[in-house]
Amino acid sequence: MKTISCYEAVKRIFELLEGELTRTKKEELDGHISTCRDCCNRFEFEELLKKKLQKASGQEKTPKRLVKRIDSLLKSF
Amino acid sequence: MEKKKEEFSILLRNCMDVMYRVALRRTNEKSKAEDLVAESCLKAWKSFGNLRDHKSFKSWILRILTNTYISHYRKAKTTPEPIYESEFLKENEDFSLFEQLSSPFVLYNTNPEKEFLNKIFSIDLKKAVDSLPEAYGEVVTLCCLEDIPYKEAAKILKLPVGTVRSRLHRGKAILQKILWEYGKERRYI
Repeated sequence: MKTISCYEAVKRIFELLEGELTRTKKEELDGHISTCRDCCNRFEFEELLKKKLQKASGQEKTPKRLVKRIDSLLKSF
Repeated sequence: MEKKKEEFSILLRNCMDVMYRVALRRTNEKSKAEDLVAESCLKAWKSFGNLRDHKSFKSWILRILTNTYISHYRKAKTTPEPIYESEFLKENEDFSLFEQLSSPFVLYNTNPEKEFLNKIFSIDLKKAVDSLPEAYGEVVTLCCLEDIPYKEAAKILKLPVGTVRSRLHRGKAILQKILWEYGKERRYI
């Protein structure tokens, strides 16, 4: 398995979190993270930040008023 | 006809929250976001017969929503962007919250980065996303918050994939810089 630098690992951490990393690249990243404390911490931090951002933004649900509006729109089709 | 309508209805219901959030992010106004979603649904239904692969319904309908917004709402938008890029991050400047918070001199069992994230409120996180300039906010919303693949986001926004990647990188850097400033204001750091 190819070894990667911390610079490359950080780049791949973001790609992994966005579901854009290939299996081979993920394995190389996993290998790096398992031996590098800084990159492991970085991964945990970015993952937690993303989850918190998604939670904060995802709280906004479709208002009931709009759901009703769409329902009547669908009935009219 | 009924089967087609039922299919459309199921697919639409699965996408309504994301449509509303994207619309809200773009219009910054609940009533306009609702109008945008409703108008996009109507347009989507009219051309639903042309959609070959129902798996791509989400990106297809978000593309319709984006086009509708551009043609009708963008011109009418009177409120200026909440911030300008340069206020938070200079051109060509990069920023990482982790690098600012982590220190090689801290004790092994302390974790200032996680402590910071535990202190920051949801409202600040949301405010930070809302404060992103439009060009970055739309990419961060799609790729980071809604987990839409780069290629799909590129289609939705009619941008090259490379531009999506670079805007996402920059958008996240600005977002982290905003959170850093909030953290300093609230004395979390």
